[in-house]
Amino acid sequence: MTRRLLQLLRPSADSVRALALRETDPQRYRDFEPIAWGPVGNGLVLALVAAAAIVTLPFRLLIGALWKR
Amino acid sequence: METIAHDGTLLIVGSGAAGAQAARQAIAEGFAVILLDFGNDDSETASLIPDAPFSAIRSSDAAQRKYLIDEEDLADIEEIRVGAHLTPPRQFITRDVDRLLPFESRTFQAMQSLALGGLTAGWGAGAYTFEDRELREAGLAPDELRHYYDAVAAEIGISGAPEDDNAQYALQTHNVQPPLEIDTNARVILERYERNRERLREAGFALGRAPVAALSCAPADETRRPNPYFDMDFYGESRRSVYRSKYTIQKLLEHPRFRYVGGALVTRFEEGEHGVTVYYRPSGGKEVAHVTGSALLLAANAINTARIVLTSLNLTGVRVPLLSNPYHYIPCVNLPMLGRHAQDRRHSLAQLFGIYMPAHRQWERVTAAFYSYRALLLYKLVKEMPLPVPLGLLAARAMLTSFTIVGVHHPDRHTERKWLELGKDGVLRGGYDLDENEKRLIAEDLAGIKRVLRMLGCPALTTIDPGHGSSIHYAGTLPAHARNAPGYTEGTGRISGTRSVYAADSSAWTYLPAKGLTFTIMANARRVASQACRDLRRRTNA
Repeated sequence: MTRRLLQLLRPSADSVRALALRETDPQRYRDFEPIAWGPVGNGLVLALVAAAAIVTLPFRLLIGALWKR
Repeated sequence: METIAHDGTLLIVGSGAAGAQAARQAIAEGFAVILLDFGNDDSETASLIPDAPFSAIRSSDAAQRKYLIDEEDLADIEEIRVGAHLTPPRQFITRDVDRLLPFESRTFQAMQSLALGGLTAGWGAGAYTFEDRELREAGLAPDELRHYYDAVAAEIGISGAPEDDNAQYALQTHNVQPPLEIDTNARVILERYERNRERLREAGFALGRAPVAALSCAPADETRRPNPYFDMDFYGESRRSVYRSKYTIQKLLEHPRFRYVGGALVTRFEEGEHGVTVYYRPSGGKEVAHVTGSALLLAANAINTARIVLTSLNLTGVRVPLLSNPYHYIPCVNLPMLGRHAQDRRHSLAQLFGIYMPAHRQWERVTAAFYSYRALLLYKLVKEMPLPVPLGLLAARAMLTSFTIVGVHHPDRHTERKWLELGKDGVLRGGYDLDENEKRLIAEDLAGIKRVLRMLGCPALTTIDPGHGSSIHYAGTLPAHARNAPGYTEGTGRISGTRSVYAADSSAWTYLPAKGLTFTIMANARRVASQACRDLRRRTNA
């Protein structure tokens, strides 16, 4: 059940493909550089990501279920 | 059809870790060698890669897409996994294998190769000696192997730290160059280990810099240079600093007693009055050619050597054993590194190597190789996260300098559930399954390793089981001393029932320690070649 839910939440193949192409575009390399803002700065970034993920979870599950059906 | 007869010539099948070293040894002992090999190589991609660091390439090379990602990869993006296996410049390693070396299994994913240099064309270069007990369990004699470990180390170049805690378990050889520099991430982990050494040693864990077959200093061989720390070792040749068996083959090509037969798909052998005849299909086509020599050393990797032996001895429908290290990888976050800047200068190979000696394993070892993650591209990480791409990318960038992948290998022994069988249709089939006791031991290994990782400040994010066969460590298909078993080998490496056919790779082993096996394969190949040469001299003088 958990595996299926995780699968629904993972990004689509198309979006990952687009990301791979952007990552190997030399004009866009800065978008992929590591963030090094210290332990507090990076900790805050990860906390914000986690918060955003939780808040949007119901919508993403619904979209994932509809898209991947 | 081509017939060449040579007296006193050794035939060798395969140009990988075993074949190259066996050829080197036989030439050194004064014999002529004909090495048969399919020999696929990369003809295009390697030349595209600039001699520059990963970070410089990313911001400047317009052609980077051709070697950093693969069009096929993008078409089948669900199948991409985090890890270094087969970056686009390494795809040639498995080219033609599906067509020419058919293998079927629902439970075991075998990686076979028809490449020049075999699987060393893309290996991680971990260079570990086995301990005496491990060698004996594998059916190898420690006293004999030690000498050959030194000889191989002198030729291929091994960098390591004999003073580190892991060395007594995995670096018992001379001729070692100074260790490669470790990166910022690994230095923080090693410093934490040193501060907590007593507790970690009590927990059964010994850590140190990873011994690798890569040059830290200039060697005698002018074609190779020290590692430039560009973090491109899984893509390019890195100034040939990382050893590949094809470098030995290339040097041997200059020798008058060495002949390389490329494009040769070897199918079987036959012994007769005049020696051993090897049959092969040039370029994998329908035609059959053959070559005859005085002795044959099979060095085609444990799976393919078994295929050749089973075909030659008409052993279809007969099961032979299979050993393969169970393997897991554990992504974790090195918390002390979170948010810290990491130095760009690094190599891509394992930074650190840990030996885990848990009580539940008695004397057996489990190993943990630590890799930092930079040059393997973020999209592979983002793909695995249960997050939309923008959030996943932000999280990946925030964790990047602290992200560590720990590759855990477990030892393997034969059971009835691990087997190969050649069908009448010429397809090799296999099965691999762990019994309840093995599963329990592995679960305890992983729990112990994760405890150690927490003590090192690197809590695990998850544990990934990539499936049986994914370690790409194979052995034991023609085990030594297994009397009454078809195709077994004698202690010398000679295939039972033959006069002069030898298994020079890991197919004769009866146990597979967790440590990477390639360095031991190389040393053992030299031993087997030397044995074959002795046997030939004895027959000639008799």
